[in-house]
Amino acid sequence: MLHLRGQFRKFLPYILCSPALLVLLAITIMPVGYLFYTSFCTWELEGFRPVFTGLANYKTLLFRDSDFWHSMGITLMYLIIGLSLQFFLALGMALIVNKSNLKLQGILRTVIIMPMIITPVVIGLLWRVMYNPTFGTINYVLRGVGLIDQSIPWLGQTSTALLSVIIVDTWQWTPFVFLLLTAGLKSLPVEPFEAAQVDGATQWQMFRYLTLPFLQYIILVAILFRGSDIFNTFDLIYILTKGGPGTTTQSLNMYGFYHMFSWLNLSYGASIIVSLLILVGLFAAFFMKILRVRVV
Amino acid sequence: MNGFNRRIKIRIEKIVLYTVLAVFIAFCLFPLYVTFRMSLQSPKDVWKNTFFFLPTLDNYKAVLLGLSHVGKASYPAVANFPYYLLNSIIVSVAVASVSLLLALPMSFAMVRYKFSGKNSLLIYIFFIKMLPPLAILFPLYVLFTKLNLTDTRTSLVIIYMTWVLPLSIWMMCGFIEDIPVALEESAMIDGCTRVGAFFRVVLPLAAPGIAATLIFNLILAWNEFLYALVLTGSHAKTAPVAICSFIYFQEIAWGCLCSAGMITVIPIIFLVIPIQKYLVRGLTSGAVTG
Amino acid sequence: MFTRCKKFQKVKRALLMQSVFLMVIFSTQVAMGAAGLKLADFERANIDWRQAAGESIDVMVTKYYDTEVLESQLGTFEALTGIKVVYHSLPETESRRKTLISLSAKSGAYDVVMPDIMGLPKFVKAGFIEPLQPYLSDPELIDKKWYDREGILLASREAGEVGEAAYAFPFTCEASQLMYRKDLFGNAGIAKAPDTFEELWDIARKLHNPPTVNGIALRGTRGEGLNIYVWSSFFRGFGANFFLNFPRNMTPTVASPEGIAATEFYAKILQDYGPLGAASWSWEEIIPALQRGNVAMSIDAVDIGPLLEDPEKSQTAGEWAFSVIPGGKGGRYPGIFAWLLGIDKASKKKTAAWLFVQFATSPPAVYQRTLKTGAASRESIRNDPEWQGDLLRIGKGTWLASVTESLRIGDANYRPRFEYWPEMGDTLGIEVEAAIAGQKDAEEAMEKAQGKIGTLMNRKGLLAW
Repeated sequence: MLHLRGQFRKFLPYILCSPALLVLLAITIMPVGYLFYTSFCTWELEGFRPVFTGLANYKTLLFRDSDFWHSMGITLMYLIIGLSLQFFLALGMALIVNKSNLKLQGILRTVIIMPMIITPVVIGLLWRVMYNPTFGTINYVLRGVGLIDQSIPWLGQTSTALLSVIIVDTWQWTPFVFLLLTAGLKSLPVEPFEAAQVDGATQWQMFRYLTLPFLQYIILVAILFRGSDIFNTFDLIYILTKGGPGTTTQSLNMYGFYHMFSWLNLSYGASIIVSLLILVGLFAAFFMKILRVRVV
Repeated sequence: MNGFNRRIKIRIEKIVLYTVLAVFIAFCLFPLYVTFRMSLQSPKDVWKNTFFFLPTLDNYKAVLLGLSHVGKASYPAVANFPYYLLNSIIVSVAVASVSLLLALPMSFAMVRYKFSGKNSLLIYIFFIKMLPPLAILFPLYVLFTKLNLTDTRTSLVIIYMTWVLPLSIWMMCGFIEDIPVALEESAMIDGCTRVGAFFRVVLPLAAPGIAATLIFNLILAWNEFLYALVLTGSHAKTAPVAICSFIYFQEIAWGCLCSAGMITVIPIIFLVIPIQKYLVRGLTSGAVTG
Repeated sequence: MFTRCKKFQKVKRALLMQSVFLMVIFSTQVAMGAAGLKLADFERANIDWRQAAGESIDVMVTKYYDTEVLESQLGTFEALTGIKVVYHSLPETESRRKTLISLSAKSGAYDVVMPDIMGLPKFVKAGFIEPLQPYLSDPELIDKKWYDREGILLASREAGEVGEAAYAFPFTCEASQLMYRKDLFGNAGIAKAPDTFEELWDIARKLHNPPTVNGIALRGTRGEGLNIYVWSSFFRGFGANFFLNFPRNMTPTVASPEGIAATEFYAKILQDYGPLGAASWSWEEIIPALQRGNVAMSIDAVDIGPLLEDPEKSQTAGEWAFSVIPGGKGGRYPGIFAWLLGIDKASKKKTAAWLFVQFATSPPAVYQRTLKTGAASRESIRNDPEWQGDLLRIGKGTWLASVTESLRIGDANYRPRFEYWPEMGDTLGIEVEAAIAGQKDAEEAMEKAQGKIGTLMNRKGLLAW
């Protein structure tokens, strides 16, 4: 009896994990396997069937496809600028709101999630119109305030296109990070802070040595999930710029999309997406390492 | 003197803080204002840059009743928009609750038990989240066709798990971890079983975390577009896909698009308002004092 | 899982009932259109329309006005054939994506699909589309005299063919045309529409008066169906060719002196006399700009015309005139585009699908459907004064005349129609957009495009080195 009980104990965590894991496994194992398999194939229109050819796609991709490397650069730039903008903006706002003891916090939170819940199709088109130099609201307001003399073609010039896309992404998803961080801040234990205050710690010290370590895990969640979303951003870029001007905003995901769904190069597209997955994996490993997750 | 200076300093600090906050909120709300404004404009007014215009509810009427025209301008819009909105609500509520139910035991096990493979499990889950939908869309479509599941709400609920469930698990891990083990242990000393302690101590304490997770799940499922587009037809279509119908080859029905956009915000706001209160309450502080 | 829930069924039914009720009350416009369709016109055809009665087919189309009207004609089709039609209509990007996925999965989810002129060869090569030759020669399935395939304008008929074999029928056919503001032309003392590219340049320069009015707006956003759709008219008009000798010798020649000159012209006219940030402009920007009066001229699809002259939507209604696009030493090449209806090879109800395709593209259906849009692809209909009626108001008759003329002189092959065009066209689109944005000069852009297209042709084995 006791022995059985011990056995049960040992397996209990696995049993608890199994429903969620089984569901995830059942949905993803086939598609992911298929993706990896096709990335090692050629898939011509004639006959329309994947034929195994080993590393051919990857060889072309890595050594002969300058667009691939260009898109990789764009993706990384998007990631670094977008993620840090969203993260620091959200962190700042979360700290301010948490500190100011605002009476209207409930309303604020409700209002702030609105960018996230408007349909993405509407958002993309709306921003596209707002950015328009001839009748867009942004230029109209900026001109009215006197910040600029002449309208700026935000999406139509190389220097501002990527930034403009990032701003929309930031507008839509900073609230997500903000909510995550607020939830984290709300669940901070009180005692260590009281103790620190008694010991005469400065604000900065409290933030650096108490708040940040306590938030570590939530920060990781925010960065990983936002990061992977940014890697996978598609519809927004497609509606705003289609990857242009030229290839200025053509991210890796976008490039893969064109190959798979516009040009029917299904296998070559698959190899691009697999490279993207490897890139995201590296990104995740990096952040897991520097933030030293406590749970695992 | 010193106190006076400090008071001024605090006041200035406050003014700065509020200003920053106001700018941030304005940044969040400005595009929403533009959407709202457009949703009240007749087709002809949409492109006038004048500040004043005659607001009209024609767009809302057209979208909610499925009319084929706004005022006199003809826009053969979708008829069943309210039905698609209902689809969206059903799917996202189902996704949010199912994934929470699946995530809770797993997160609990991840945090409270030591077992081999834990680390790789967490990474595996994240890996699933980061799969680009585009990449697995094609095989999934084939799979769902074989299973005869295309154009059902069930198929959407299943597929949305791929990124809603990982987020739920990761978030719940964080929230459960913040609950001191000591509380559970004392409950067990009082005669609770481990499972009993989970229900009596962990669950109530994790309520704010659960609320937060639910909100995020709802939001993430609410706006999904790509899967819904490919996997549904006329039956299980969700609001984002239906809104798409306001875009024509060569022309966009702006008024309808924006009013539909505003309308999709409303149900989620109503779902979120009762839940979000839980976010306000502190977690462990409440437990210790109470 | 949820469908079985009774309560929900009830709500759903109530909602459906309500919307059906409201549809009946409010959608009079569409309903009135459908009333014009007479069963007798179809019963005249010497085939058995009811040979597939009782079946149900799924139809996937791109959403625009003509497909919207087609939806209102479905009642007639169902009454005629006893076939039930499940109609799926989505905007362009989405319908393309969905069609592509369901076709390549060979799921047969849609019996009738709507490829476009440039995408058809790719689908045919991959074996997704049912060849129509057997249907065309079977007297059980088509009444040749009644359907009158020869009566379809050459350019649109060719659009549905790959290598001279029919794979799809043209649903609508459109061309690109020049649209210009008569009032602004008058004020500047310009008597007539530009005939050559040089004249186009001069007029754009004269009328360019920013920020109120820009001289010209053309599609800048990258894409084989976006900027390349318009740019190709310039490219061919300047006398350039895409290949050395299409389709026998597929050595790309886009960086020929003519090709570079055309690209330079296209980029320069937009940079100098176009709207700010023209590189990111597509029809989404161009139409409102024209309606607001921000632009004096544009070359774009003909179906924009009615939108400009609709007083409910446009502030410049009544000021527009239309003409065939200008040309150069290569001739005139109005952009030709067509949506087609074809049958999915994986479909299990091909006869029913065929009857639908035939119905939707037949003379009476096209006649009635295009009364408001003017996109008829049959000469006999276009010349019918009764059909012209309402359409003659647009641009005081110039619109209809120039559409007919453009369709008549148009060449479906002004862009090379072959299976790798989408990739080639997008490659060109990227470089043309870069040239408009001033990222590189026309020569550099075209050289780059030529290199890439060469690599593509080589990889696909179309180049015999």
